[in-house]
Amino acid sequence: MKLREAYGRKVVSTDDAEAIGRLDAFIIDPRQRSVVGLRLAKVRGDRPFLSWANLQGFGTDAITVGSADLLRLAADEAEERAASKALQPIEKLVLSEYGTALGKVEDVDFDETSGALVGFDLGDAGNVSSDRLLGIGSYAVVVEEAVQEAAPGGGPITS
Amino acid sequence: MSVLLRATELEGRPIVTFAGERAAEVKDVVFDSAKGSLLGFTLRSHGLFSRARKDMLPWTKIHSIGRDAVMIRDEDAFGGEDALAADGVPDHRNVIGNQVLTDGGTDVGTVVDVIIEAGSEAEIVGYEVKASDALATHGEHVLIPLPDAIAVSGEHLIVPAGALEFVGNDLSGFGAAVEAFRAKLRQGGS
Repeated sequence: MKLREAYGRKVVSTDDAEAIGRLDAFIIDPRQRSVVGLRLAKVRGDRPFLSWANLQGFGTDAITVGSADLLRLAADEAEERAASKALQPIEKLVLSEYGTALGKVEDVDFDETSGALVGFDLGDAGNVSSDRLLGIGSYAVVVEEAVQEAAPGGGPITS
Repeated sequence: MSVLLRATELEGRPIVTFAGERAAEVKDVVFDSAKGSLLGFTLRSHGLFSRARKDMLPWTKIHSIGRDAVMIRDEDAFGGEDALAADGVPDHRNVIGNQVLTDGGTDVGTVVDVIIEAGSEAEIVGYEVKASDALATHGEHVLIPLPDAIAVSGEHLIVPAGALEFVGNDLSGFGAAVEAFRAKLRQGGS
């Protein structure tokens, strides 16, 4: 599934079939290369966070959870920050670890059952597999240099 | 793998962590005046109210200098000001504008930029010089290769007269010119 189209999607609790909010931000852990949670907008009350593990389904029309009681506060400041506008990857500059701009994030492919990131779509600049992801910051998404198969003169520099 | 860069091109280049944060910008390039090697960068904070920072980025903590950013692993790369406190360490502004003379006493021109070879180590491999009347190309900018250890301090910069045989016009062929010049120096030619 694509990240861009999922923003704004309604979140429904299956115990009472009530809409409990709308998807406002993804919480991505670059180390796990995965979506690990969501922050919702338009929730009743002051608990807008949901853990990915607590989702029942991530459908094209709605995201489902067992109950509105699964909504929670941010676990810590890091989670709060990861859910901020500044750390959402869409439209962000993509830099290689060697300091070359590769393009801008048009969209991100993720697996809607596990939350695992699949790859970054850079539009005309091609695709970057998520296993190259190093970090997502307010300035850029940083990725490892592409491994060149049988590069002449030896492989890439690793440290 | 190494790449040739003009020192002035690096000014203002963002310094970005692997976590994707712009930690600072390059303010100036700092050289070791005795060895002609690059020590690192002085820093300024980025943004509207950009200002100089007291710490620096030592060369050894840089992951890579790229076309669009200088990459560091994390902000632990920034060091104290100790490395800069050493006397007689000029930043490249001290070199720019200096007159270049050959060891034979010919005025080559004035320095407009410093050419750095950036790889696993960084060193100064040449000057970009606004050529004097003594050169056929006077008025134009030319690249002068340097021996592998040369002092960059002082009001005058002395280069071996033999360097003039290896003057280049653009960075693309300049790496080879530096190599050829240094090879000739090692063979004892002048």
